[in-house]
Amino acid sequence: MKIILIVFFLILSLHSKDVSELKVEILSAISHSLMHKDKINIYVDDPTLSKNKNKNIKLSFVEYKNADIVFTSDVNIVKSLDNKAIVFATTYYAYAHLPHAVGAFFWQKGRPNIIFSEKRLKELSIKLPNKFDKYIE
Amino acid sequence: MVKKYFSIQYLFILIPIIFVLIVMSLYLQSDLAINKSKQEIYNIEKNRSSKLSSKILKIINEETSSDLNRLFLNNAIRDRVEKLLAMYVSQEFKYIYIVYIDKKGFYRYLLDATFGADRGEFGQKFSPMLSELWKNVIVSKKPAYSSKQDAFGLWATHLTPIVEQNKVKAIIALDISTTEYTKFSKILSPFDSFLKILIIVSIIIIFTIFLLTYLFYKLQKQSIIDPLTKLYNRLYLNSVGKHIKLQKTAIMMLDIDYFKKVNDSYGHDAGDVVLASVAKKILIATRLDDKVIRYGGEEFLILIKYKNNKNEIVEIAKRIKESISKEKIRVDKDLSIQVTISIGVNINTDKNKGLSDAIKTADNMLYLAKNNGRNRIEINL
Repeated sequence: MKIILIVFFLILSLHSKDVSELKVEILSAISHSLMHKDKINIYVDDPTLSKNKNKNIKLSFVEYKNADIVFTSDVNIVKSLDNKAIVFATTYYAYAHLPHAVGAFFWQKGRPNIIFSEKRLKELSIKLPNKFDKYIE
Repeated sequence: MVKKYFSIQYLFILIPIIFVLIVMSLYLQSDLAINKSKQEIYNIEKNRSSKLSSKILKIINEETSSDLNRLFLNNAIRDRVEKLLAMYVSQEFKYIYIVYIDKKGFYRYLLDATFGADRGEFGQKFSPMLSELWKNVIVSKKPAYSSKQDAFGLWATHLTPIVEQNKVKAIIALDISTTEYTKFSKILSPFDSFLKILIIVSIIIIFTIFLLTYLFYKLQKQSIIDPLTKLYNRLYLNSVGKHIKLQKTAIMMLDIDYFKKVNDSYGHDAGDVVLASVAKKILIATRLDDKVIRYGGEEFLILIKYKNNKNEIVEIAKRIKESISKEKIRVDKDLSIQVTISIGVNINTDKNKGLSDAIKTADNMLYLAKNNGRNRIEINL
């Protein structure tokens, strides 16, 4: 029984590791589609993601004040940015209600959801690579 | 005795093989049972979700009077349907939602009976994971079901199209998660592991038995073979002696003439070369069925099986004598030694009381050959 529990928690930890790695990979893909920089400074309101150790991911996890892209749903953080960073919402609700959000990336029903706002991309003169077309609305 | 021993050996090997086959068959049967139960659970879940989808479709038709546009246009109806569907959300039916396809071909939530952060807003874009399944539902206008099994349970999606005017207007989606199969697997898991361990242990035992048997036979063969001449030794004669049928076996005793002189004149190494060479010539001159034994120092014994013709025994003796005497034995590049051989043949072994007696008779014939001038054959006619 003890062994089964250990194996169970091991699988659970591996599984959670996979999900967070996947999330960081998506964050990287979104960030590099929005900015043409070698290393992008991002802020994510999920602190567990900033512990990423994947060397292939060219992202720096920084404070929102120093970030190029801010992944958040916190209105106060968005207000304090004063349009200096690109805002990406982390819930659909925030995306719908934050006028500055270029898009949203959130986990719903056990699957990742990515949305880019066509209107806001145009406002910021951002041209996404073609592979992101299916996420634009 | 040898035959009896062989049958016991076969039994030792056969029992573990049968045991492994039984264990393997048990393992395969348990595996079949698991797969069967998985299929059963799959069917049960499929039927349940199919029934629930029908209920949901009925609710929607009742609440919208079979006009789905009402759901798009009327918030109150949408809220009411959501609340009704929320009653069916459970551990098993984790997510119940309805998705429509917009003009651009994007999937969007029409309503979602899910609670909390997983709830999709009306009009929110929806990204299906099994996009092919969704496409199939739209094209075929028929329900579809897909499931996958992982360490945590069975995950499935059941899709039912809502068709109006022969067109799929929306899709009812049920995301199902059940741990029934995992529970069942966990119950069977110790038995499954036990069988796996049993198979491995049995295979190791069989391998060990094969290895030990091989080593035993190798050692046994080594113990009955003379290392110098590669002929059988007297130990072999002792082990097979009881089984020899004297009525059909002639005995030949052979002795290298003046072998002591060879040893004294050229040394024991040269003597060994002569012995090995003579042994080889004897082997070549005899048949496969004949058993050539190094009986003593330079003395050889041959057990010759025959059917009716005793002349063939004499022919063999002549062949041996001639092959040895016709050419010198080359010891090294400077030394070649000519040897001859005396042979005593007992072809009337059926008159002897036993093997020892038959050997004694052959030995007497050999003695006679020696006394009569050596390099000759004496037969007890």
